[in-house]
Amino acid sequence: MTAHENNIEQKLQQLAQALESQDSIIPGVMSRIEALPKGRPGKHDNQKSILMIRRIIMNRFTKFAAAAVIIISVVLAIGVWNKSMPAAYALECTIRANHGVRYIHIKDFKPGQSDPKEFWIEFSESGEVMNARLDFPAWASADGEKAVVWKEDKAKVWFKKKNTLTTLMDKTVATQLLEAMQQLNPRLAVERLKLQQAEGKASVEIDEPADKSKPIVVTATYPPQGSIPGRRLILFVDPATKLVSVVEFYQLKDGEYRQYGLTEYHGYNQPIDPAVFALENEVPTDAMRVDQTTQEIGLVQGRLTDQEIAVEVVCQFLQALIAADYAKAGRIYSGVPAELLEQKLAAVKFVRIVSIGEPTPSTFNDSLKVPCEYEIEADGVKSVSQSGIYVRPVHGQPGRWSIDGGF
Amino acid sequence: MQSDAEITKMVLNGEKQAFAALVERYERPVRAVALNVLRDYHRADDAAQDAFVKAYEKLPGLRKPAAFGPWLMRITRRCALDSARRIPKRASLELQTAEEIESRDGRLDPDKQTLLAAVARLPEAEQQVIMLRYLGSNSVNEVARIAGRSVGTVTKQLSRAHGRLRKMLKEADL
Repeated sequence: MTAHENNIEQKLQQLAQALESQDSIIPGVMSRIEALPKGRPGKHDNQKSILMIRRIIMNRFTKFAAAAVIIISVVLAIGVWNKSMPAAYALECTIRANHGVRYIHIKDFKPGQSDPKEFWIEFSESGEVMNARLDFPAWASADGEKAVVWKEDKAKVWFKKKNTLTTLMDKTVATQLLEAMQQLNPRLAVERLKLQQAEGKASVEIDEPADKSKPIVVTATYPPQGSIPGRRLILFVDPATKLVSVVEFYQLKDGEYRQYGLTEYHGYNQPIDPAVFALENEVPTDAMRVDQTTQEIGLVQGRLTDQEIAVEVVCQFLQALIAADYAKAGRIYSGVPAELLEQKLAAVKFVRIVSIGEPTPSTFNDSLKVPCEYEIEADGVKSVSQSGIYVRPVHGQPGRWSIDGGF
Repeated sequence: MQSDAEITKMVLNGEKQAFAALVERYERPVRAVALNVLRDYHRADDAAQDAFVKAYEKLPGLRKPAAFGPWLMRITRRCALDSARRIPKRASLELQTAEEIESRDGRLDPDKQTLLAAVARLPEAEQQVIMLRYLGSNSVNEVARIAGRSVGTVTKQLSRAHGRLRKMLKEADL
């Protein structure tokens, strides 16, 4: 065996060790199988006919292609409560309970990271999200550092690294922020903890110091056999306002509770400067601006598999470039303006597609990487270029896929 | 040691518990495939569970029982991609636990992530033997038995896979 082989084997063994630290999933899988309605694996009599239909569809739909997606995830270090209430009802409760909160500024810290995620939220008098801004440091976003402002189901995302401002339809931010408010709203938080304690899901201790300058400390501990085993939350409540100011998150590991998150709540009802919710003043004038709300981005997936649509997107994109159809190519490429694309590619003529390979999952987000080769001509010289083009579902345009990122 | 094909037939004949042997055998490879997509231990575990349950449900549709391993990997990849696309926010909200403390953010370190991504790019047959051999800690003979291939074939596939991985890691400067 050569030294190189030894090295590879060693690396693979180290990888195996890294994966070994997890608890077995066998009990979980087998209990889910036991709970299936049928005792035996389902019979799929129509399997062959489905396969046949899919093949026919594949052949007919080879002209379909893709779209671009930008995921906005709020991702606070929360979500630790049992979701015993239906989501819609819980959100309704939150909206009602938010009546007294008009403005809030949240900072979400993680161990080892100095910069927190930060959120600014303005609520209407009826408790619904009116304006929001979400700042993500590089560690918290696969897209690199970014800022998002949201209003009326429309989000503007400034990708600082890419120097791109993208406007897109979004219905997720408000819901996520309302869910976040469920965690921090003192009335809901205490109600939930009491309910969980009554159901035996958590034990709750409240330490209210005689010294009124010190915060009330609410500690909720979840038992090892519960739905969130070994979790502990410590809420610090301002004794004067009865508002939660800090939540610390712990997990039991090897007999001790280790902190894995901390969320701070600032500026209750202190009006937020409207400029915070206006990104335009911060985005450099030379940034690329893409508006996905005025056009359909990418291609419809239809009944194609993710892999098939990814290939189709790349295929149609390259075909559009070969045909110098920059409007179409721009739509497939996240909605990049045709003029800009034409300008960027002015020195290059796309001649033909040489090959498009099998898509593989991206290692950094939910996109698929499609390897491809195409012939280009620049300065009268022809050459074959190789690329890995990333294709993702379009955020806010369900069922559509587009190219995301460079190529 | 029984082959995948033999265990698959037992499950299809109603021996539900035999499926546990397949879960045990492929637990780490499945987790690895999911982790390569999701890059988060907990989400990967959820996707791995989903993949096994889906595989169980779809088992009658598996035309070549000997191909159980690669088929399961495809299902896993699909489950992980579904998870990545459908529940990124909720899952991220709920899945920050102790493992994240140990590996900073619940992910493999970059070198291991690169290696895992390289393994995921191997042809299916080679990926299966690499995963069974190293992630499943099986001997070459055992891998051959599980996959229903000869020892010679498995040895060649391992050797080719080593070569491909070396090349890929070199390209990645690892």
